[in-house]
Amino acid sequence: MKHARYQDGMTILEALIAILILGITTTAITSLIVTGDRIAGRRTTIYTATTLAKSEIERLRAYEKSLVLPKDTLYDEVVNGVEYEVKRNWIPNDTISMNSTVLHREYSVSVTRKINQSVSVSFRTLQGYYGEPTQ
Amino acid sequence: MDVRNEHGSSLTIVLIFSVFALITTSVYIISQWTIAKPGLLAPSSFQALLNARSGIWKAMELMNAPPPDTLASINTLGTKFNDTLFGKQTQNIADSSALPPDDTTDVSIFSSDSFGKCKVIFTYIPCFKNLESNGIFRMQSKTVSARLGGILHTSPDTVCFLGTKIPPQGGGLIDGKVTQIPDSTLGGPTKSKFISEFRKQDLVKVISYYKAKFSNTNDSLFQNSVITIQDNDKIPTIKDIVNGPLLLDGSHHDLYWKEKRRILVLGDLQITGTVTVENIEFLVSGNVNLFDNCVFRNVSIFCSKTLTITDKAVFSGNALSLYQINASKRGRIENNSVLVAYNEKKDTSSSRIKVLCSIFLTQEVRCDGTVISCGNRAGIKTDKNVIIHGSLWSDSVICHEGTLLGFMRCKELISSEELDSRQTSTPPPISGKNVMKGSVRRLETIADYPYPFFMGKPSIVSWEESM
Repeated sequence: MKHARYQDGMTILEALIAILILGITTTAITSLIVTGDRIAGRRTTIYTATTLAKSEIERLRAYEKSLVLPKDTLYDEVVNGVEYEVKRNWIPNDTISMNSTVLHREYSVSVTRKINQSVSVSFRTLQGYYGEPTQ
Repeated sequence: MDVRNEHGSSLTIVLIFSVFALITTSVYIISQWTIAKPGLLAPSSFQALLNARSGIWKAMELMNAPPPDTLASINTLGTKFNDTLFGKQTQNIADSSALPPDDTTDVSIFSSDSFGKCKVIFTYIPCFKNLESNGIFRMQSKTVSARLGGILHTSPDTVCFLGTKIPPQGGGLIDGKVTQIPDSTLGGPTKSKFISEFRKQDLVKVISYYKAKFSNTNDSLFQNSVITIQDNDKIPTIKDIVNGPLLLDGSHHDLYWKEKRRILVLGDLQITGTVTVENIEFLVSGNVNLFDNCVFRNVSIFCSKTLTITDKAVFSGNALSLYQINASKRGRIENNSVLVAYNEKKDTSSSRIKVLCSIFLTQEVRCDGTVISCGNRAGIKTDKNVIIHGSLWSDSVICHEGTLLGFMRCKELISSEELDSRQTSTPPPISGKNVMKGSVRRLETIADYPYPFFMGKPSIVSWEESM
């Protein structure tokens, strides 16, 4: 009888500890899964934004031998149902080239996910021109 | 006892389950991180690439910066008018106008340093300059290499640029326009971006650079006997500085040497037999002889004496000779190659033989590239049965009897008889008429042919990015 009562007490304690452990484990697991999904989501966003920036910079490079310089641009792109804003700016700080044969300009290219307006990625590049472009 | 065991096992099961679940979830998150890592690092990696690319443009600007006296006056102006932007620019250029060859230089590329920096190194390869830019951003590093050369503004329709107005005679075929070179562009550098632009000071600079390489090594060394390589196993034993003549003999075993390396040969370089050489830069203080089916691919040669390509030897790359270039006996020059002969030697009064030409293309040679002759003996001679795709550029006369697809540029076209008579008479008679027996036809792809960095407008002729 004494032995049986001891056993009952342990069962409640065991159950409580088990519930506690289960709770902690479930919270940890949920948190880890959410983090994992967040990483995956962030990766997709950053990767897509970088790809869009690469495309824009390739467009910029096409002007290398052009006779006109590209103008600043701002446009939206939808990739897998997510809307991104692509912005390319000429940074006028560093544009004077003393050399008459090769001119280069500094540009900033940023891609923003439009849902929460957070800047996903931002790049800086120099683009040279030797097609004697007009300003 | 059994009952207690059953109750006790529930906690154990929960613990085991929890540990297993945590391990599984950890594995999941680690795998997610591993998958995501390249994506998350993509922006840093791409910015590093952009830094490397930007470094090329910045270095090009620095290399073409105005001379120091101009900078001094600009700096004075910048200070005087207290224009911060103007002042900053001049300071940048003043700091960097010395971009010495073979030295790594840190270059500040953007107005904000938060986007990283890059390191630039430039080296001469005889007819071009090689720029290597290493962009760094947040532990990521990328490298971009660019080869700098020149471009000439030519239309495929114009096939002949001559120094005089006299139309070519002598029964040759000219399929295209013939244009006279304006007088102002004859015989030296001008501000014009026309076909004749040739910057002798840049060429002299590269020659001095190579001559310094020879003199630095000559001081402490005595020349050895001929170093002969007849086996592939011996190729790695070739040192960066070969202190004597070097012979690569592929008569017994086929030799294959592919390496990105600069070899300085203090003597003659001779290649014979079945030998394939790729990507190597040779600086040779003597003659270079390519014989017997040997193949040179993407090779750079600086040769202090005569470069000979003969007996079906194949050459592609770029070569600068300080005396003469002879291609003969079905020798082949391929892949938009560039051959430059710069002969400064003046005629001696003791000899009645005046050698007008420093480039000879004879005996069924096939040439795909740019052939340039300048200096005191700046003539080019082509035989019949020679076919050239590209251009012939001479600062003097061209004796053309072969077939050219592209264009030629010279002061005067002369016949082989006249060339002989001019070479043996003192002083040489001037006919004043253009005589050509060969043919010249237009080539649609003429704009694709690169020129050396000391000609035409500076431009990038090739671009390579590390992945």
